[in-house]
Amino acid sequence: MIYLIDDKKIRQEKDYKWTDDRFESFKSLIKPIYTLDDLQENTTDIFQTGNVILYHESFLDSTDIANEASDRRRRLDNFAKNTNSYLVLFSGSKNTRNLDGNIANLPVSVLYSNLETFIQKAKEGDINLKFLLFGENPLVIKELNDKIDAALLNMINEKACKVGNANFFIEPAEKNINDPLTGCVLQTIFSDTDNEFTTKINEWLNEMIYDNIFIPLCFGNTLLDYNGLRLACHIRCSPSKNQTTRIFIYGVVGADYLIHNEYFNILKTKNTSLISFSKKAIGESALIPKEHFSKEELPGELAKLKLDVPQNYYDNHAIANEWGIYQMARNANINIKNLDGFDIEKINSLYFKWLIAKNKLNEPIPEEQQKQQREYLVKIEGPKFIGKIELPKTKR
Amino acid sequence: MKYLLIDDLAEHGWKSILAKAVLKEEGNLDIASSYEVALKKIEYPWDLIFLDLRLSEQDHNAKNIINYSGFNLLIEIRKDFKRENFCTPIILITASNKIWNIELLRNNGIDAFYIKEHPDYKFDKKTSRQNLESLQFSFLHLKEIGSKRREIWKLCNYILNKLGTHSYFKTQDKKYVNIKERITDKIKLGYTQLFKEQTDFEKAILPAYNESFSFIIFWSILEEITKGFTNILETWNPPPYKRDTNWKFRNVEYFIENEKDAIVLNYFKEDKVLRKGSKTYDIATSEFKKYHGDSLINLSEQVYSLLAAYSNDDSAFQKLCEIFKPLNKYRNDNDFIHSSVLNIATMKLITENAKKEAYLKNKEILEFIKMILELRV
Repeated sequence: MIYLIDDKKIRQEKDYKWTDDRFESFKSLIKPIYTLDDLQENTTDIFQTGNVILYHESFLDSTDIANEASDRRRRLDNFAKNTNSYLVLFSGSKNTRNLDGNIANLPVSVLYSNLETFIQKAKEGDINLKFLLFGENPLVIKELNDKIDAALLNMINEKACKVGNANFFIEPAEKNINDPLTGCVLQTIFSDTDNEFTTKINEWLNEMIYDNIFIPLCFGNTLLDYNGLRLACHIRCSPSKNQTTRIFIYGVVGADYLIHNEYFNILKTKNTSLISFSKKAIGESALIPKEHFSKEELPGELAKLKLDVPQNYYDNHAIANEWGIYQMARNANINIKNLDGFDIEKINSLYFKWLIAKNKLNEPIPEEQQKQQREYLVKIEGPKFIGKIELPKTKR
Repeated sequence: MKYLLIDDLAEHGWKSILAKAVLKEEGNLDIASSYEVALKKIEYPWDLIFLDLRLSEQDHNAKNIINYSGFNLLIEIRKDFKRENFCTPIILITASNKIWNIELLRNNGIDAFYIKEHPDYKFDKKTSRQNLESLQFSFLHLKEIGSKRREIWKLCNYILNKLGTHSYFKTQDKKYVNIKERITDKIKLGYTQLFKEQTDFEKAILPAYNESFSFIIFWSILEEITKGFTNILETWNPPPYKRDTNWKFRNVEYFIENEKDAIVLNYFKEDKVLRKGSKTYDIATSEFKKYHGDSLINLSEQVYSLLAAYSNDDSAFQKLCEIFKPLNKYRNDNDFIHSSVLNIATMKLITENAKKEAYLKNKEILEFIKMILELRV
């Protein structure tokens, strides 16, 4: 039996079209759980060997036992590890898919779009979490790996091009090109989280201005997530010295494979291109004359991205809260990092960075506005007693 | 000053940003992160409340604003004049920009609002800045208004509570019940008049002098108070209430006592000073004519006689008179009762100083009414 534990019923119906009727048609295979009472009532049935538990990570956040959330998570992990059962953790804050044995992590949108396929396959007796992660044809990931392997094999005797030393080359932790570009600055990307991207951009791209940045299309937990597109978006949205530097994303698939990716539109923006997975393509790209791309053009280009509000914002932490706080702090000339309780990691999320860059909010507020804020402080504090002036008798 | 922020995400940055960007001080902002906690905290007085509308997951699923926890808290706060935070300014912090929702909330007691910016309806830089400046302006304005509202509300509420326990008004006698109801209405009318805000367009075109009109309303409560302290049955004949000279207070003291070819008053003037004590005026005096029969008696004289009847000795009477005299003079000089030629020929009708003075007189008249209700009966 599959147990779907998610309190966001409205989102299920509105965003993913999983209505009561749709669940009803699979009632012998899946049971949705919406409340803590529901969960507690069905605990014995849920924790039966062989079951599949699909668990929304913030399910307990708005319940009376929110403080027990991490403990409960651990118990779920142990259950999956120690029995022949499956655990799928999903949330709106996840960007990538990951499968480790019988435990999977994936974004909420992926879960709901592949859920019917997964149920159908389970009905046929084929319980395979890959259907949930990759849909109808989970073998495509193998195809992708094969393509990369083939491309690497083709390059064995290929020599790296010699270009200037103002090229920054990012390689994945695995299956990387040996000596891709002579003279380039080479760095390896190990993780695919928004935070890691922000950290690395700050670390790598703030010293000198490069002519070109090369990014792998496939890296991270799941090559099919095409994280290179997201990393390119991060570079464009981060206020580094290389915010407008030309970006080449090298990969083994063409744009037709990427069209449904959320970050595909980065390829429609100026100075960002998709190139082949070969030393030749990399070398030739580095030599293409540069197009002028100024910071003034950036907001207009970023507007083409059209990123969706991350799904986790439709949990109880609505985006208006984070965005509202950010905007109030900015207008009051207060550093957001000095606020207590504000989840500063939110600022590092691509969506936030995109909003900030697109609306030119990285610029300091005008001097006149700063003055206004200083005046407000004076008004609210009222007149201050500084000291007494002793006048000579003649002037009294 | 003590402020309350009611918001389920108060500890996720809202408390901190409001303290830093609006209050400009830390430590005075308390929080309530749920409806249940907020319900308990609104039992205590606050100088200003920041109110979020949606405090739970259920609120996020609710389709109608009237089902939001924040809306229900607003109703709870404003539902009765006697509620501890009836007078407290409330600034709504909302993600809704629907004007009909704001209108509904205004009609139910919010004083100002701040719209949490949402990327879906992004503000440009100028509007975003104005959004904060408008909040800061509202806060400054409401801080000042709020302390005035609480000052007056406390006095009004004290009077209403006192009426509820005062032996003269805790009665089944319909006449006194009616007096109590009239005082209650006048208290609320005066409060409403004093704090009625004009719209910006009205401010630009129409003059306002709330303070003076509310003073007149509060002053007129003395009419009810003097009757409430009077033994109506022994002073007036049955309706239409014609007096037969005697005026007797409920503590059996007489203001006017009819004697054969004379009347006796319970206070008199000596060397320009009012004194407590009986004085007899025979038929030949002008006082006899003034007070005999069903003649109308000035309100100020009714008050002086009440003070005389209920003060223990002349010294206590003098003290009360000293409080009442300037109020009486202020009332007599009020341009909306009768204007002197001096006023008409030389004074502007409304000035900022006059408004300030009128506000203080509102406080003084309420304090005076409070004092009367505290007299031993």
